[in-house]
Amino acid sequence: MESHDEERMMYKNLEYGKEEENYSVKNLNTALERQELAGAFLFTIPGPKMIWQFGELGYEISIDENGRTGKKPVLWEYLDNANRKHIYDTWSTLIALKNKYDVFNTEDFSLNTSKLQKSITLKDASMDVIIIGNFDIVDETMAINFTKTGTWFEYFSGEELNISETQQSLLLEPGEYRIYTSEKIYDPRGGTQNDDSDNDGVNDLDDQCPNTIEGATVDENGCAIFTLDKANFSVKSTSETCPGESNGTLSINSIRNSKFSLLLNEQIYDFRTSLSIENLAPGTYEFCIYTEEDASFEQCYEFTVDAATTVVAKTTNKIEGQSVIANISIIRGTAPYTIYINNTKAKETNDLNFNIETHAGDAISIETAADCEGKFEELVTLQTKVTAYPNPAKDNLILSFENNISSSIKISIIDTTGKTIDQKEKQIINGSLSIDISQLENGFYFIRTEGVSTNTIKILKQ
Amino acid sequence: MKNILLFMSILFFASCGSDNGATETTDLNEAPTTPSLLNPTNNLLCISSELTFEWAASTDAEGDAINYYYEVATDNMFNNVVKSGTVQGTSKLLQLEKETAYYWRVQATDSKGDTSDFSDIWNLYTENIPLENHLPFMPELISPSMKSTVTSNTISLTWNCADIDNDALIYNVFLGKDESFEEVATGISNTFLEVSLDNNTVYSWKVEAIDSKNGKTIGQIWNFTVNF
Repeated sequence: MESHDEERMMYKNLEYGKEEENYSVKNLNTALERQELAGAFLFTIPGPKMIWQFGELGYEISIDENGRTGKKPVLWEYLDNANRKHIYDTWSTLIALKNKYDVFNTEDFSLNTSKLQKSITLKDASMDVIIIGNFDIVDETMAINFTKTGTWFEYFSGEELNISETQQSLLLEPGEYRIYTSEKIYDPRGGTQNDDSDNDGVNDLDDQCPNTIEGATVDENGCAIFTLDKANFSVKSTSETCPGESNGTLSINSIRNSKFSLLLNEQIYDFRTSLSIENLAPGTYEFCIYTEEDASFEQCYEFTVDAATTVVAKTTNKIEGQSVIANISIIRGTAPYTIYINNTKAKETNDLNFNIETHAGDAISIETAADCEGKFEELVTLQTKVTAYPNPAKDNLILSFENNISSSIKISIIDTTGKTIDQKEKQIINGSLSIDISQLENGFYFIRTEGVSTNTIKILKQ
Repeated sequence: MKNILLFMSILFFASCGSDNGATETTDLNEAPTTPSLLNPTNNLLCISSELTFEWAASTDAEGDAINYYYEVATDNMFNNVVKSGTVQGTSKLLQLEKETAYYWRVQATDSKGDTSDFSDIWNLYTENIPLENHLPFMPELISPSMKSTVTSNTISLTWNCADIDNDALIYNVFLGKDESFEEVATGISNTFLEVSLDNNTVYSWKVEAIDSKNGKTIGQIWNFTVNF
């Protein structure tokens, strides 16, 4: 494959490989795949061939390691890497094809290998073979002249191509190779009902994809199913940074490099490993990701771009008698601040920290001097402590609320299985109310209060 | 703020010994005019935090070279000045914090050290730090495994799901025959669900994972066959 005194191809791929936005020969797995491509063109040309040991596993050590003629490391562990092993499997398939089928020893062949899109045509009485490959780093359409019309069989994918015209144009991805034969052939390494040469669980006669990479999940035809790790996609959304700017974003990263497309707002975005979509208005969005590798694959998401608001305040509430004193701290926003309680203007101030009297359930909103800073809104909730006595109780349970409040409140009695046994609206008078529990069976219950005081208390009925 | 230096010179004239006269002349250096602010315009809200501040050139009666002193503060009394400096030109690029209200003003000084009044105070508010949310990862099937056969009339559908932000996740579960789904659980926080099944049926199911920021990831369709 390489000259004896040159660097190994894998070394050159990783060191000097060409790069595109979404395709880099320097990427290890891409570099390994391109060794298969090179093999498809080395072995299928009639005549003897030579490879270096471990070349079939993607040996990438420099010729100058330990000096030019020095010892090089022995790397049997390469066999444990499925992508490296796949070169071995591909090359051994190609060698077996060559040994088994006469067409690979024909003298009637033509080479079209001067450009990056290369092809080899082999003609023989038994069958014709066309090998095509794209050595470029971008998708390319190749014009292929098939030697005859009819059905051609692509060896690796099981694809059957029915052609009525010999002149065909085929789109190949970077690094892609295909071997078309005019007769259906089975795995030359075995090829019987009793063989499973690629060890995927489907016998060679039924296996439409005879060179499945080790460890892949296959369908009933022995072809790898498109599966993604659960953490393959990381999807991030960001909110609007300023009111009215509509500058929310969505960004996606994929561990797997595939021809993905994404449908959002009736627009299609193509990507391989990363995509960023900008200038999204506040709102809820749905989108789905698809791949060219598997038409049935669909992964959908929903996300929300939150609208920007620029006034922010913090409130803390303190109870004084029947009312609540809300302490408000403006964290950001332009003075003066106008405070509304239940949509009625209550105060205007330049102070960053002030108190205002409210009642439980009031809605406080704050506007700043600038409309576009948005509005801060909060509902006043107050946590009045409640205690129950006597506990255990027999007939009547008294709930005692802090601060002598008087208010209506929702009381639920819940059993230990979570079932609500009773629910009533009751009146707290001067901080106290009484519940009749004489009808309850003995045991533990939860009393839940909702309203001016939202609490759950566990009681024992005796 | 105007400093007026007064130079006085008194000239005595004697003429025919009759009149004595004195003339006063004042030689004063005028301070430059007060700069007027241009950009960012006053009350500008939500602007990029990297900003070029610009003001109109002051003029100086004597044509002296003018330097400008700028101040940017987080309060309008300029007690908390965060950026200040002197420049010869009429603009300055400053990197400010996001989500902050700033006040700024400029003063001109001529080469003789006379300073103008400060300009008007203008304010601005920088853009928010965007809130980020990672959507949940794809739900992962635990059991029953894909295309398996279930031999009882009830089963626990089990899955798993993770979120980069560690948001608490809730799930909607859909179960169906012939890919027509029915929502069998809504907003549950468990990652399993007991369901009862009809015999001799192929079921499909999927899980939607929802994080605490309205991010939703719709799981792949999984299926199994019931035969008991």
